[in-house]
Amino acid sequence: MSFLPTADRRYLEERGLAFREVDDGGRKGVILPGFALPAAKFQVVAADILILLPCGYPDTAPDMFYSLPWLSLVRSSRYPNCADQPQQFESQNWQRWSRHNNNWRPGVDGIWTMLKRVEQALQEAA
Amino acid sequence: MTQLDVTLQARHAMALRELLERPDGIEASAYVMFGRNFVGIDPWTRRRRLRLVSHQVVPVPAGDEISASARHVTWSTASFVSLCRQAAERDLVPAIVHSHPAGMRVFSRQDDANERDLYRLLRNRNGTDAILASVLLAGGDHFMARAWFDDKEPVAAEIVRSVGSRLLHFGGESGASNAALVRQALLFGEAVNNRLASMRVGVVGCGGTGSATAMLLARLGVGQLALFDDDIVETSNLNRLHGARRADADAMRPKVEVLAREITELGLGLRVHTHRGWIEKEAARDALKACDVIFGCTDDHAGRLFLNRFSHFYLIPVIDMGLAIEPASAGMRDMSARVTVLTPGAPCLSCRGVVDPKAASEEALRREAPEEYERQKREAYVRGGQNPAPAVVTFTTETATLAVNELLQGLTDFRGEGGWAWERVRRLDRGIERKRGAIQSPHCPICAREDYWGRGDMDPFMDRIG
Repeated sequence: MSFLPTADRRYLEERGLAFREVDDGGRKGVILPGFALPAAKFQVVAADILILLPCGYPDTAPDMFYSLPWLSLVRSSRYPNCADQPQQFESQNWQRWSRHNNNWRPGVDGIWTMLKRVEQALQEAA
Repeated sequence: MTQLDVTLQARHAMALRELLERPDGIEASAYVMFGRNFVGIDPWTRRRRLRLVSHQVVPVPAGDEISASARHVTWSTASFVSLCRQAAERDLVPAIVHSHPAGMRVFSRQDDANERDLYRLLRNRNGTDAILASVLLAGGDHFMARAWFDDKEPVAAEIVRSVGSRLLHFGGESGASNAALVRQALLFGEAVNNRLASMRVGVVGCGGTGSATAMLLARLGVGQLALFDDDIVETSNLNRLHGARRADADAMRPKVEVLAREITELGLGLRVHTHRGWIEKEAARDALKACDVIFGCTDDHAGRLFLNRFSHFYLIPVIDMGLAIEPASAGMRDMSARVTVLTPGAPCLSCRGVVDPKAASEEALRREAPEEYERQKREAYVRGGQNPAPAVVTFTTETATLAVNELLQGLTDFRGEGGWAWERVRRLDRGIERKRGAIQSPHCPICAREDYWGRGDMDPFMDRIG
């Protein structure tokens, strides 16, 4: 299964990130297995990250992201804010991170933009 | 056997003329990289069709030419081999272009022998699926083309088109005069009637503007029509849906079927292909890709984004239309009809702000994952369905007329403006019409960069998530 636009594929390959393209009954997503998390922040050091790519992407913007296992903060032993809802994908219940950004620039933004947002959200999680 | 036709971007046709024109009347050469538009089953001929679309003009490097006269041209194959390598890497079709300065509109025996050799060289390098195209510029203004699928006989292109701010064509069959269209020939001439009869026109969306567009195209003498719509006739459509009757609403008939019935009943000799379904689905693809021009009559943002890309990848101009009736300041309503031409060189719908990408992804989510859509609606992440927009038959039909006239403008330049206006807006409430410009984003992957222009088939389809 391969559906990633050329620029996204090139970016992930050049960065040497492992990724898996999954089509779950028409909904398409990229899974980044074993994505490194900020040190000492969560109960695990790495998690799988899922980014759902909407129909029409990259003319349309992705929104939110998902993690597995569910991440809780070491400091408070609870889920971060706005990250307590499940999302079914590939027969698993992912932890949904409701992070939104309405500033999507076609031709400028891509999977690299989403990865930056993911990294930032993980860093800032509280 | 595969049928063949060729479309050149107008700027490529111009570049080729400049590269091949030699004041001394000596033959000259150039290369073109074509994208391929492979149509598995053409909806009208029911046969396979390969439509080559120009992606890039590549000059033959200086010094590569070995000898040339008014009767022949020979060049070293070094640059051709490099062209073949690039074609394999990028899944494009390489073409050689040469001229017959004296205007002979036929490939010569010498051309046959040269091209057969080059084809064999290509096949040995790129494999038996390789295709070699050949374009001939005869007398400086007439293009002909053909392609080699094997080393026996080349396949001649039925027609060569040039797509830019005008729709030009070279070759193509000229049909018999249609007695029903003589009054139109009095204005535009028999040639335009013939051209319309040979054209394949798509209508995406068969509602208020689409049904009017299809009926107008039929009476204009378009020979092949493809209608795309997913909907059935409803009672609330009857105020504006041309051809629809109460019984169609009661029988819940698809809009495409009702329109096809009305159009074929006219008996004007046109053949109508109908597709009931969503255009982004693979099932609609062959019919869309077989069109020469497409009218965008949908009010769907996802559909518009799709056609926006499509027009550039496949060099199939899209004439998109919209009717806006919105409350404006001081209690006045803004009532305007918009017609936008989408083709390489024109500002695209994203840059014009005509499409709302957020609305497009919500529409797609509602279609593909209705349960998830409902959930996000409850959580207020999606905005939910809009209220139905006002619609009046005279306004939807006027919008369609404006759009179909733009096709005529591309064919005849009846307005004397030299070609298409990329966007016209007619204020229906004030009787004013103007052309509207746009500021293109320098990063726009569709209309600012040229990588997708004439790119044709690729994986994933149109380099997007489908």
